[in-house]
Amino acid sequence: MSQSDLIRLENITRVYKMGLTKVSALRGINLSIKRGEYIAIMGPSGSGKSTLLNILGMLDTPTGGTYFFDGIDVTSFKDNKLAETRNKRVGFIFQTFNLLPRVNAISNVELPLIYAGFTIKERHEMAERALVKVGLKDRIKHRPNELSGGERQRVAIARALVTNPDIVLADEPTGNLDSKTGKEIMQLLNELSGGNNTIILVTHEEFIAENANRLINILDGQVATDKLI
Amino acid sequence: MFSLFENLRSALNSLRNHPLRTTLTMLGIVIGITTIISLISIIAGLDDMVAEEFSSMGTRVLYISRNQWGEKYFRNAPPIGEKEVEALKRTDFVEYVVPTRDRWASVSRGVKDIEGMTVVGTNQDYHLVREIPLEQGRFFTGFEAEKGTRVCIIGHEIYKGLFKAGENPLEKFIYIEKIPFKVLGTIEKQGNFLTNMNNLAADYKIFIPLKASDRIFGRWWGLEVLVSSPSEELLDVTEDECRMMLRVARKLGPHEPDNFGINRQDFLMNQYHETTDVLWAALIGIAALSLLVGGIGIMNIMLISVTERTREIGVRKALGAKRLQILLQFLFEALLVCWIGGIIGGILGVLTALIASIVSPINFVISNQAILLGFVFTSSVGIFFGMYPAAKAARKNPVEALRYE
Repeated sequence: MSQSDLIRLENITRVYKMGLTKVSALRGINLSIKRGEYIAIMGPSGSGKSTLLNILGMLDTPTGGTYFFDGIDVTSFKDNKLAETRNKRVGFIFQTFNLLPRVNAISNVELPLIYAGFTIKERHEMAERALVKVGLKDRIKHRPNELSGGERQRVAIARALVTNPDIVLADEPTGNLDSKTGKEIMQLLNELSGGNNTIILVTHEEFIAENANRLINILDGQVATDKLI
Repeated sequence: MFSLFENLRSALNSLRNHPLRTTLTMLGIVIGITTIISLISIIAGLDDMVAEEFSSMGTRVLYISRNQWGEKYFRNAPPIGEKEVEALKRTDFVEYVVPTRDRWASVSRGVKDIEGMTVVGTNQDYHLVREIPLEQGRFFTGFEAEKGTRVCIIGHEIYKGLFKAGENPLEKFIYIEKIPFKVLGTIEKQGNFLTNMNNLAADYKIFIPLKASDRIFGRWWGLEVLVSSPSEELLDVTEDECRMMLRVARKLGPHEPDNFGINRQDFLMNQYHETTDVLWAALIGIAALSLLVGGIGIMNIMLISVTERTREIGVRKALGAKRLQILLQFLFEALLVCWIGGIIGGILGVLTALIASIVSPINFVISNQAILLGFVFTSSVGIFFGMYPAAKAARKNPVEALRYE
């Protein structure tokens, strides 16, 4: 394992039990990702790309294999340790935005900072800065239902980046947006990451995947192709 | 650190978002706590009132008769008579010795006639030992007591029964068993249903000199002698001295047991507690059941809320919430409902007790115990019934929670 690998997956498998039958979502994934890479994962639905993303984001644990994150085997991590690692080192962007509907934009962005233990003052400043960066200076006090789809995803991006994570995982971030807004969101993501954050993007749209500099195709729970673009 | 303040804020926010639901859920707790607090306060007020009434019998008075209250009646022993009274008068640490002999009788004046009044034959010191505030006139004198003059002091109800409102009763004659007695004084209204029932208050009593009473009714019954001690602290000493003198007067040998009783008012208090405390506990227990029902309501709503907010739980977990943090968040919501309900219930309970004290003779007492108990109860209900839904929320798998529609 080379020193610069941020992520290294060794023979990762994930088996779901559905009643009596077992479904193998991942069948031996080997993958290493360097710091600062911008990766797009593609594949037909049911290929296992979402499962892979969940494992990468430590929301799910693999059935077999080893996952090294920054040189540490996280497969042995307990629930709390995983939560802490997610909090400090991973940012999530979802297709459906997943903002808390009852609280305003800034409170949504503050959420990961609460769990990280920042004081009210600190996190308020950090969240405000993040929202300004994504161009929502005037929307700080708005609730999600008062924002457009694109604006909501901007809030979500601010929330994902506010903790300055090592890795940003985006699951079909433009899936619920029209193509013009989608392009704007991708542009924003590209600008903000600026090469510091590692970005892993799941998509099924070629023109979205083109933003990345490495394209991985998943088929039947295995890496089919893996190439730089 | 995930602070208490965060939990509080998040819980408040979530409760504010469902005002009707929150109110209805809270109602169970409000009713439960109102019931418990008002019950405990009313009971405490009742106890207070009873204690007050019993202590009106005098906290430094001994009641000596052939009856050891609640224990034994010395049927075969000689009655308490003049001999014992004389002995008690010679006893050290004794302030007043007041012999009494009660008898039910009918009292009349003109066409007015009331049955079943208690005629108390006693001496001139009675009103110094038992508190009986005079409204008009005076008590009889030692001279009148000595001569057995036909004079009387009448209780409030007897005055009301025999005289017109505002009529001056002094120096008028009333008839006890058809024998005329001159009214020397009247006594203020004193008692309530409880103390009159127990013959503690003087409202239905009529006081005459013992000698006069004996002439009408005969010495048909032993005396009950009231002995007062110079002070409450010396009451034990007074009792010992009296016992000694009585044993000598009644010629009891060193190994013979007492054949008389020396009683105090606190016996009645203890007896009251013995008979009522179990009842009160049962009553409060039943009231606590309503809290249980309220708790089940909370659990029900919390389970619904956890299911509804599955996705929120998933998001929070994805953003780094630990199990304990999710658990505390939902537990706090349940607790907050309980605490707010508890505060409202507490206020309503105290108000209920206040109203009860206005419309009845029961005293108004704010019981610190009740408030502490209320707090412990509500918190327990919140934790007990909030724990399961909160644990359910905390255990949710983040991937599945995020996928929840």
